[in-house]
Amino acid sequence: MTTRSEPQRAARQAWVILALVCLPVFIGALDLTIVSAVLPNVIVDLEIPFQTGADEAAWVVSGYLLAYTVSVALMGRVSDLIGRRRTYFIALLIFVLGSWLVAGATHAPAVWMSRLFRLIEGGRPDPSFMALYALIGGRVVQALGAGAMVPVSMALVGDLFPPGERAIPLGLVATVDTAGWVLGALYGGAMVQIVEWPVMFWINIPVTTLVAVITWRQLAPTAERHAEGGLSRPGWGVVIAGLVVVNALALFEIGSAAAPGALAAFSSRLLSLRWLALGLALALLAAVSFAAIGPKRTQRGPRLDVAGAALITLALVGLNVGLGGTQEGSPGQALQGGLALPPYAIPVLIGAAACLGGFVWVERRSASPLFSLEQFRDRNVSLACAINLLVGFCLMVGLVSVPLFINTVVTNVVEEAALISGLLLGALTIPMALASVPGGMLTRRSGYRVPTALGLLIAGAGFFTAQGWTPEITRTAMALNLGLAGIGLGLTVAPISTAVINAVRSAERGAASALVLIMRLVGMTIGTSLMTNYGLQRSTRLTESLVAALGENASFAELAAVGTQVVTQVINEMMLIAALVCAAAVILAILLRPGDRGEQAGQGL
Amino acid sequence: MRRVMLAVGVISALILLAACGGGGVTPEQLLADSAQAMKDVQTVQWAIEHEGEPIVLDPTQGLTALSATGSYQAPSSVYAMVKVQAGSIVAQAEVLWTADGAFFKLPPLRPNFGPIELPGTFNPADIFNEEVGIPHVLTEVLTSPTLAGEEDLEGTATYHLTAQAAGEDLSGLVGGAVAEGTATVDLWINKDSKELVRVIVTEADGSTWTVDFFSYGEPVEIPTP
Repeated sequence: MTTRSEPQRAARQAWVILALVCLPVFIGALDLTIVSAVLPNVIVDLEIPFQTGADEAAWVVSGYLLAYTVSVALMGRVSDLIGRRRTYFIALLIFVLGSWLVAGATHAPAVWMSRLFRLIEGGRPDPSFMALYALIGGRVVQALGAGAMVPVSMALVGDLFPPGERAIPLGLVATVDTAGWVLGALYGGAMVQIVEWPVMFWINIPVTTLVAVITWRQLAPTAERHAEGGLSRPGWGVVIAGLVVVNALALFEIGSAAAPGALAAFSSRLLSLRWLALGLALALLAAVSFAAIGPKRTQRGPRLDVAGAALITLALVGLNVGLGGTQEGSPGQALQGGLALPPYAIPVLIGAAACLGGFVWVERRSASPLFSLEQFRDRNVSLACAINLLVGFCLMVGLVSVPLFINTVVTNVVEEAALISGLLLGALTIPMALASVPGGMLTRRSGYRVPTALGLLIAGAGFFTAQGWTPEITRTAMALNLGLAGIGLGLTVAPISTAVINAVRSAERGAASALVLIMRLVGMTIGTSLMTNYGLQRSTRLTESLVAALGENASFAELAAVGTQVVTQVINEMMLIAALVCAAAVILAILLRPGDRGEQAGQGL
Repeated sequence: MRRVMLAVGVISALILLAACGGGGVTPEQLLADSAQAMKDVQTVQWAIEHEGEPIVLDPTQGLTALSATGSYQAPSSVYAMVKVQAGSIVAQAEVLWTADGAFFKLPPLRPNFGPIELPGTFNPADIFNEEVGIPHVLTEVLTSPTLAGEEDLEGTATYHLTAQAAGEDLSGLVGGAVAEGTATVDLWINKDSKELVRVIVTEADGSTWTVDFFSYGEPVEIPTP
């Protein structure tokens, strides 16, 4: 074997590994938006009433976004400490655990949640809400694993490819990540036509396990170079046992979905075996723990900013809890007029602000902060982050309002609504992804301001046209409105990323890129919580006034018509809000320090 | 000597029979005791779950009932929170039965209690109806009762009985219309108080009704219409 073939073999190996790690990146991003189209299916399946459960059901989306954000911020640094292969493997195990908790949420996890609530609160908790909380918990665990995959994959690129050859692989990882969340809603809407929603999460398990096994072997040379070490024998025993059992369960569930009937009853009994579920949960948790234990690193490297991670997590959770909560109580007391926020909202928001202040204080004094706050001193970095936060907010308005409109106004067949929602959300996200390319080209020619401002104006126009939706609107018209909004949002991606990357030192570009992504995710979580709260509040007040006008003898058909009218109006208002937010973001875009012509476009989404 | 042996044998057989017979408890006696205990109930909370064919409330609007939880206060006040589904929307309605009739509200569409005529497909108040309710079903409707054993049900020691019944006669046991045909009934009766803890009715078409009773004798809040 000649030495000339060694670099070629190494290069080929690097691309093979990259292809492998991109698959879970895609799946993790897919799961970010997969519930957008199918959340109504989940809510109906769990029997969650809209009056008392809609705000909590929103955490199925918010919980994933929050945990994903925190994981993106943290796990890249974790991989510096304990090794890429080990961190990636842990992330995959966590994703498997989360996927199992989500897929089986209505069985053993719901029973555990019920026992926990009985212990804490007593009484007899509603099994529907116990299943919902188990589902949310599973989504959070999923996201902790999924969020790690993007930064670790990008860090792996640095290990696998020489400096001059990293741009394309990095772009590929970013593109795969984008493709995942762009197609998630469409995938979800299509899949529920043929299988129940849990099957979509069961499928994650064998695919992720296969990738975990293969990448562990393929990354062995990289791990050896960095003295990562392997797992102990007991560790491997626990990992293998846990993965075998969970995959057997997953494959059985997927198989029984293809052959329902008698298998369905057996499947339900199998999933309800609490001793099996408990053993499996403990095995997977132990597997994660064993995977995390490795040889002590002999090199002095950056420490993990645990305090910073904890404070920013608490701040984000507090912000979403404070903005997204509604009044509790019986259906008759829920969402009473008067207070816009529940009693606990103000203290929680104050606490969130305190945690944010604490985060800033910690980061300024940390030797290895999560984010270098010095970056925000640059005008373009601050503005770009603020714009991307607003872009995320607007994106979420679309992702939340479209399924609501379809399920309430367009059709009352849940499965059909999921497919229509998936297609229409694809009309929003796919143009957004495609428009990043001309956005990059425009940035090259005109700098940052023009494409950003233009994109926001176009997006605002798209949302503005969407605020005129009626029950008679055609799906084509809806798709065109959403497509326009998506194109506009997509045009902003490249100039915003480029503005940030060009404003910081080369050693900070990775962290800066992550920061831009994180700000969009934060905007999406705020959009989810705030718009859910707004929608519920406005719906209640509008409904009460319209129903009062009808009088006490209103027929059910008249009341149903009121519901349609109210949802239509509330969706229109949400779209108008998104249009106004885009307009506000245009002002920020105009304030961007102009970029030099000829600068390279950013890494894309 | 033979007489002594015979006497010992008879006495031993009687003792053995008494032991095997669960301390002398027969299924019929258990049902009668339970019926009386349920007649004497002053307050109780309950939960109804149904799996299988949808419980249609209003076919023109596609309205179906999913499940219900509620409370009962003697002599005739029943309150329920009923989950209903219309298309892809799940809502929670409050229904109230009093001596003056049935009332419901569905916030925010119907924020105050108003009179309603409920369909026969779902009417939890039947469970506590003197004529068709639990005591009647336990003593007059169930046939072939069998003691399946003794079980601990979520910390409560119970007798598990099984029985058969004509489905159309069981609305007073589960609060809804049970399909025609022979249904299988499983009952769990509190060993001490003889009050019902759980009822599972398996209809002829395989659908199931599960009714849980709990918090006997505890104060309940029943709104006024």
